[in-house]
Amino acid sequence: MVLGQIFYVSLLLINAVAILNEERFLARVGWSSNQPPSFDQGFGGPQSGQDAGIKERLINLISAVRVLMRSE
Amino acid sequence: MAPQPSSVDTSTSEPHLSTARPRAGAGAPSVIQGYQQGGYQRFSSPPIQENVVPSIHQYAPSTSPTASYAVPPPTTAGQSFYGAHPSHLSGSLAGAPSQPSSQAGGWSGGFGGGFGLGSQGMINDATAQMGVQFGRHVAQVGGEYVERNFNAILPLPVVKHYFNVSNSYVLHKLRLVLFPWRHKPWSRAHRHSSNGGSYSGSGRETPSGKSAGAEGYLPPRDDVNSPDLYIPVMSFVTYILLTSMIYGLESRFHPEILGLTASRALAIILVELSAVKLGTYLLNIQGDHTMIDLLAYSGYKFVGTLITLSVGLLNFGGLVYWSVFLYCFAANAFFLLRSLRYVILPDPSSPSSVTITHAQRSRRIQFLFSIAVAQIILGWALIVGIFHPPSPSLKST
Repeated sequence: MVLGQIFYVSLLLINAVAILNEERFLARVGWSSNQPPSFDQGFGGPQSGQDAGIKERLINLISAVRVLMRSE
Repeated sequence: MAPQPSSVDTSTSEPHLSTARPRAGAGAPSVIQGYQQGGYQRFSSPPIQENVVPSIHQYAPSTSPTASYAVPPPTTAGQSFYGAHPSHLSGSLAGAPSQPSSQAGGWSGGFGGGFGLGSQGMINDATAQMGVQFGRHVAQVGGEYVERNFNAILPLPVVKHYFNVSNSYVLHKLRLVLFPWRHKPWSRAHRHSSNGGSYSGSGRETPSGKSAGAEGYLPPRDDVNSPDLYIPVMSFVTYILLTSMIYGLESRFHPEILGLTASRALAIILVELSAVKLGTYLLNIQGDHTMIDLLAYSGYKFVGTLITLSVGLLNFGGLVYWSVFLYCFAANAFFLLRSLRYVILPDPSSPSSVTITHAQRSRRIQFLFSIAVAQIILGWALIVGIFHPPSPSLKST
């Protein structure tokens, strides 16, 4: 069934987001959610604020998934 | 069952005799009681004998074995004594027409006919009454619970708002989906702005208007640009049926195809819906749209799919088929481009609009355009593989 495949794919994707390690991976890439915002702006640098907006929301989404899906 | 004459009894019960003999030793008194009652009551009405026979069966081994032995000889001939009673029993007990042995026949008839319908049926009536009442109560409470929670997940009045269509709306909307090029105003009409008072007067509009009062949009009956769910749902069902019909015409139909097609189409809809939802989240789009709006807009692609499939059914050849497909989904993409514009780029006059900068606006327009282009891919995914390769889809392309 195709719906089952969709379910598997979404489950695996959510799992892939949930197992991202905060200190070892996200902070190194600069996607950590508890970074001071100055770092992100420094990373985003001269670009306009809209790209940072998308990235902000993506980081928010990742941290939300990690908070919701992890049991620790 | 009508009792047979005794001469026929002796002859027809000879096969029963052989099977009855080995078992008759232990159960003889009860059998005789059964025979006695059967002989006595074989012309009476069935309900009485069904009530009487089990009780006799219960008391027979202990109370009067001698009386039961004493009675039969005057009524029947001696050698047909054992041979006669199976058919008498089968005739009088009327429970099971085919009884292999007298013992089993008497007991099974007594339990099956007498106990089931008579005394135990009365007890069952009382318990069944309680059970029915309890079940009704449970169903009522459960129904209320389900209704309450179901309303929280899928608010029924809001959904009813999307089915509030009329014939002229459906025709207009179908024309709009297929020929969207010359349509002029694409914005949805607000309820409070123009005709709020006039429509709240009629009874049919009032509940939907109240439910959609937060939205403030007119129902689809009064506004061609409003999304509805009637056309998507109907075209979804028709898509499944038409697909199965195509499979059936090529004699490849299997009942699983219904479920597979539905699941596939639902999966495509879900993928598009989640992609659009993710995009609106990432782009921080806060229009006054709902999930049902997006569902309705993604469901309109079935109309183009249906047109394409019916053209493919007419066997015009691959070129016509694919050009019709391209036209339909270009039209659908244009329709979505125009219709989703109010979702993604809110009207400045709309009360819930936020001021957006230029870069944000260009990014949103790119997102809108990618949704429109994705329609063609999703539509291709809807119709691919339906026609068998030797039929028009791949013949002359």
